Formats: sequence, C-alpha cells, structure tokens
Amino acid sequence: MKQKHYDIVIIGSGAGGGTVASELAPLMRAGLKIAVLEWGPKFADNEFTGRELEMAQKLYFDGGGFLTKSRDMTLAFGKAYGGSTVVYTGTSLKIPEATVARWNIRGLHAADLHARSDKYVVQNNVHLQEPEKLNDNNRLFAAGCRKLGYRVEQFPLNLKGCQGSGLCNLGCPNAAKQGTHRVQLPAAEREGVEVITNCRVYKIDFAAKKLSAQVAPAHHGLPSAWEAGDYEITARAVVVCGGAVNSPALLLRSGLGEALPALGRYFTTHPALILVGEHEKAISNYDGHPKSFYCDEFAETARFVLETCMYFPFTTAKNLAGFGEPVADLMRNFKKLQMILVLALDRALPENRVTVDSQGNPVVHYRLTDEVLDSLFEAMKASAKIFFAAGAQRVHAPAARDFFISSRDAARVDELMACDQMLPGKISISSAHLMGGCRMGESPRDSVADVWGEVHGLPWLFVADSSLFPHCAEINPYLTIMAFADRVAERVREKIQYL
Amino acid sequence: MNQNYFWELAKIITPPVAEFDEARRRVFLKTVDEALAHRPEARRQMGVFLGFIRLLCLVRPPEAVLAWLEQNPVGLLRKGFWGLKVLCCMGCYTDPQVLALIGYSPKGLPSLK
Repeated sequence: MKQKHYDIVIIGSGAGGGTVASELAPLMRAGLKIAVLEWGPKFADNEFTGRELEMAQKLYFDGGGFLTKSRDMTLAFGKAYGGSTVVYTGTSLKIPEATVARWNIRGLHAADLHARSDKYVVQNNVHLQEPEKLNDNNRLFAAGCRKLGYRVEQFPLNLKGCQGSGLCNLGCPNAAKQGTHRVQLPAAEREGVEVITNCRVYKIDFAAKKLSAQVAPAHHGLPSAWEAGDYEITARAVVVCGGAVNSPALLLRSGLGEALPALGRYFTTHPALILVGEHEKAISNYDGHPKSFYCDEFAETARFVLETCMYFPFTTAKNLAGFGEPVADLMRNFKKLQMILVLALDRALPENRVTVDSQGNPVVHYRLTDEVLDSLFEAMKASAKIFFAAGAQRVHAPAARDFFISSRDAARVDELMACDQMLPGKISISSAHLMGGCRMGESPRDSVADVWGEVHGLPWLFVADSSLFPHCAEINPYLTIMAFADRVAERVREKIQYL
Repeated sequence: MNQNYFWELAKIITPPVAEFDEARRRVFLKTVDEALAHRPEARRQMGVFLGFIRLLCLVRPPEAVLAWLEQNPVGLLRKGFWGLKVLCCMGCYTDPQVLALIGYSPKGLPSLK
C-alpha cells in the first residue's frame, strides 16, 4: 500500500473537478500540494478515432449503456481526463433566473452564478457558430420552429477551430472542443497540480481524512503518473467531483448515508429521446456541429425543451421504435435524416436515487413519472410538427401508431400519436444530464451540502459537481456546473488555512 | 446464449445482416459477444429470453412474436426485446459495409473506412 499526502485532493476531472483544479492551482505557489484523482484515462489526440462502438466503450461508463435499475433509461456519462466534457457537445447556457428562483435556495443567486459562468464563457471561447458553419440539420430545425412561431435560439458553444467532424460525442478528433481537458486541467498542471489518471477512489475514511484508491494499468489512453496498485491518500481538504452517479456512490460506500438521509436522493436526469424526420433529398446532417439550436417554447407550459442533435448510426438505429424492414428502410436514407432531441424537465423526487450494491457499485433507481411521459409525448408531437414545417416528407415518432407519419397527414399529428404507446422499453429513453444525489440545502435532514458545497458536518469535505443541484437545471448543465465549482473553490480557498 | 438462434433473429430484426458473408457474420457475433463479456448476468438473461422466444415461435411466426414482445404490457418483456434489438443494431450498424451502404462517411476521418 503506497501512501501519499496532499493538502487538497480533488476527485474527478470533469466540469466540476477541472474547474476546481484550475481555481485552486494558484495555491501551489504558496507551497500547497494539490492532486486530481481521475478514474478514466487521458487520451492522446490521435486516439479519438470516431469509430462509434470503440470510442463509446473507451470514453463512457458502461460503454454509454449504463441502465437504471428498472432498465427504463440509459445513462451516458464520461470516464476520462476531462470527464463528460470530453464527450458532450459543448453547449454553454447560463442557468435561467427563473430556474434559480424556483430552486429557492437561500444564499444562491442567479446574478452570482451568471457572473461566474461569464468567466468560463471567456476561458472556453464560448460563442455562436458562424452561420456558414451551420449544417442543414440545424438550419431546418430553426426554420421549422420559426414557421410555427416557436421560440428558437442558437446554442453558444465552447469551440476553437471546429472543423465540423460531427464527432463531439465520441471525443473531438480536432482538439476543438474546449472542455476541461483542453483548458482548465492543462492550466492547473502548468501550476504544478498533479492529475492522476486511471485512479479510482473506493472509500473515504472520514475520521482519518484518508482516501483508499487504486490505480489500474492502462488498457487504452496514456499511462497514469502513478504505477498500478493500491494507495492511501491523506488530505486536509477533499473535493468530490465524480458526477451525479459516482459522487453519491462514493459517499454512500464510505458510510455517510446514515448521517445524511438525502444522500443519493433527488436524482434528476432530463429524460430524453430522439425523433427522426426524413427529407426528400440528402441534407448535411452528420457533418457539422450537431447541436446548434434549441427551442424552450414549452419549458414553462409543458416542461420540455427541444434541441437539434445528430447521432451515429448504431445510436440512431437502437433508438427507433420497431424493427425489420421499416427501420432498415429509414436507416438506408441516413443522409436524408433530420433529428431532434426532446428533453423532459423532471422533478426532484426523493425516491429517484443512487444507491450502492453489495460490491459498492452505483445503482440508479429512477421512476419515469406520468408527468415526464406526458412531457415526452407532447414533445414528440411538437417535434413532428417542426419536421413537417421544415419540409420533411415523413417522420418517425416512437409514440405513433404506425412507423411513419407521412407529410400528407401532417395536420393530423395529434390524432396519429397515442399516449398509450409511451411504453418504456419500446420507447428508448436516455439521459446525459445527470444531476442531484448530493443536493445543496440548509438542513442535513434533506440535503447533503450547504450552498457552498461543504458537506454537512464535515468542514473539510466538499462536493463540486452536478450532484449538488437541488433540482434539474432546466437547461444543459455544463456551464452551471462550472459556476458551482467556482463557488466551491472559493470556499476551499478561504478555509484551507484553517483545515 | 445460442449464437445460431440469435443470428436467425438478427436477420429479422436488422435485415441488412442477412447479406453478411461468413467473415462479417463472425465479426457481428464477436461484437455482440464482447458487449456481453463484462455483463455475465445480462448474457444469462439474454440466453433465457432467447429460449423463451424459441418456445413462442413454435406457435407463432417469429416476426409476430417479436412484435408482440415489443408492445407487450409486461415491461420486462418489452425491455428484453429492446436489449435484443440493441445487440442486433450494435452488430449491424457498426459494420463498415453497412455504414457505406447508408452513406455514413464523416469527413476528415479516413480511419472510419
């Protein structure tokens, strides 16, 4: 067993951990020692091959197919130096003021979160893509929304030198996506912060302030800075940034569940599904950034948002309802396809939670409520109308009674879809926006950490990722995670001299 | 899991694989096998599920059995079918010739060819 000691240990290197690392890195100049422990490997640029199955298996937990306990939903979260920022599309929205007001957390203000988000907008080169770089898949969504009078906005994106590979979700092969692996982690390392990859933290001993961890040999990616084996790491302060599944799982494995009954609970996901429209002729769809527009017309009234998306062939095929020749026929027309991702804005319920099994591995219990299914159903109808408004000749909607709805029946979308077809298992629901599990709040009875991420009762232990969210973010959460992590880093910076 | 029977169902669920020669068929089955390699419980359950389908196909055509499973009021059966479909799609829509057939060729990535 090898022993290591640091002043600050950060667990996880994604939007939360990478941000904390870069914000605390200047403390190295004062002689502090800081390490980031990241479960996944660091990839060399030429390892992002764009091969769907290969990269999904290397970059995501469970190959991107992590199932909830009931098998109703697939969760996608990254496992790499940079965490999920290696595999997301880089949409960078500030959390709406109305959302923060709904969260109603004393001491948490939208103005503060926005000011912090603005810092990362600059750091990560967030901007609107130039019109000439937008592909048809994106333009048609915007055109369809506008024709119907739906509010549609362009996504700000964290890109530098995007070459339109469309492979964002498999790791950008052109180093264009400005995730923490490109910006915050290298900045932290330049200051001397150590980033230890292939390192899984199993347990925290709260009495001894000691982490038990294991470095695994590298099967892909670059080798870790530490040799393979078991480690005990002590620290004055620990910041947990493993994401909404792994952060609560780690704290539960470590025995914190009894003291904090909310640990693991109030897990939210923005349950999502993909809809496909087919145009008469080929359109530019898989080349170009996949996600440039969103429509939040129905966020308040029906609790869903719509986004452009473009998925790879296997992901597309498995998300279609049906099988056999109708699916094969649609897939043969892959170059004619337009896609929309619909996301339901789910409520934080205590029974939707992360637990751990007998081996300490996370288990996610998530019940799709009638409200969520209704939102997804309404979102499907809105999406079908957008496709037809954009000129699609037929639409595949999983809740439709027939595999295709023809443009001849565009005016009958509402009657051709049936809510009794919203059958989990038949309809493929997934999520890449995982939130909650270590939610912030005032009381240890119903929250895990305070509004600065400090875990109740443990002044040296912090959480700084999306697991802090008390409710769903109602927008893509990445920039908000960084804003929260910025707050937590500020608190750690203030307190470290006393810890 | 009975690979031969799985292959017979795959030809129905993902028709492009019916055109696969023996070499592509072996790659297809290896892809599926590797996906289940770290999921022994899922492999076991899929084996049981395939056995169940085989029994049902004694009295109904396979296409009808699969459609009944996909729409089944019992969630476990729907999800079992979904798992089967995912495996078939995995083997089919990662095959380089199928990708070429559907015209999927992202620019600037010769490694995909």
